Amino acid sequence: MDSRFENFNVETEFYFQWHITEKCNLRCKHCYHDNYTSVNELNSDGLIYIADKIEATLKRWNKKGTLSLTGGEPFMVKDKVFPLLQHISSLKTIHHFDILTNGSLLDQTVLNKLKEFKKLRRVQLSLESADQNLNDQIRGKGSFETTLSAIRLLKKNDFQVAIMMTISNLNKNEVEPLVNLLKEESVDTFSAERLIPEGMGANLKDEFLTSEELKDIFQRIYSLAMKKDKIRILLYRPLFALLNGNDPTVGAMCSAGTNALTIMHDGTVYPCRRLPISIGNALKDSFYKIWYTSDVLWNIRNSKNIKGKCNNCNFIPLCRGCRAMAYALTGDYLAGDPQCWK
Amino acid sequence: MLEINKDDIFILSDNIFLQKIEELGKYWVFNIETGEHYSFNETSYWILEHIAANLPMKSILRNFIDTFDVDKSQAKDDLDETINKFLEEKIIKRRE
Repeated sequence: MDSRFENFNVETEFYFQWHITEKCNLRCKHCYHDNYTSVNELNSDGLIYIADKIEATLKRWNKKGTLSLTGGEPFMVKDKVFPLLQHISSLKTIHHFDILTNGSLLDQTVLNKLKEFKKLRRVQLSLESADQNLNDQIRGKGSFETTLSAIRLLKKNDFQVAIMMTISNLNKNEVEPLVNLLKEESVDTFSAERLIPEGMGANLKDEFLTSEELKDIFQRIYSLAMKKDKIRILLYRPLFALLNGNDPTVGAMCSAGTNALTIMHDGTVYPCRRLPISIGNALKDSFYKIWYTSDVLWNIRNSKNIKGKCNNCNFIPLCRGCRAMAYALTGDYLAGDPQCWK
Repeated sequence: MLEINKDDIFILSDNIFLQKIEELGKYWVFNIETGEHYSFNETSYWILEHIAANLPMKSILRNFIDTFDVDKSQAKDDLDETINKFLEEKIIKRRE
């Protein structure tokens, strides 16, 4: 059995997902948050301090940094988001960044400011269906029209737009119609994330997909991706590798412990947003300390620790299953991926 | 090269953290302050683990001979050389 972590420097990129606030004006049914009060949210000085720590860390590691800035809804804290984006843009190690937003607070004034940031690669929004009623049932009344308007405004202003869909039993038949809609809207990329029953999403346990249902959906997404349409279908998620392990663009190893960290609104650091186990605080701890000493990260890195069907799987160097899914469903982040169909 | 005496005791420098995945034959030393990291072989890591346990050099030497089945003279030379490298890299320091 092999491990992608064999050579400590094997990954040349490092990704930070940064949730600068928990405040949000939507209450999507599948959301991994269940608290929107954003207690102990960092002020701008704290955010800038952490950004400088990121810069120093990536410089030491000689890694190309990428970053997604999100929330909650990041534009709920406009007084913080723009100074932070300005600062991030000045960091030499940050190659590009994305903004993950629900789009409801985007207007021409906001986009004019965003145009100043040359390292902004994409703005990611979410849609759950091409059907307005179904989308709004999940994301809230009016969100379909709001998101479509945001897509059109972004495209009119030449931004790259990504759309993410969270797949569950509620929208398992919506992949193809949604991708067709996104093509009509000239959306640049589409990706699908599995519903993880945590936060608000814990109330959707009945909508959780079986392994066979997930296999069917992943195969359909894979088929769409192979059409090589103008819209790029991203397959960088665990389990996709099972569909074609020979193609490096199909599937991706779980990034927890490999090449990513998540920073929360109060500085708490998680291995991944969907794996909410605190491994430190970016305000108080160095990223070196977090990355080098976290037992959680080391347990995940040693693929021999991964249990269940993942343990003897020949795809483990490419996949490792979703540790967050294992944690949400079993309480053990080292358990086999409960949704794997292999 | 610094002469190592049998009663010398070395300790890990501040902010040094050891980590291994034995099944994969991987051994690392990290400085959690500066971000430096080193990959080591099993033998060098074995020596660091014994230093981390605050053992005097005479105990480490004895264990080294038993564990790696080498004669005392060769063991002393190997240990001295390795300890000096660790000192140069500031991974360990002499206990005052």
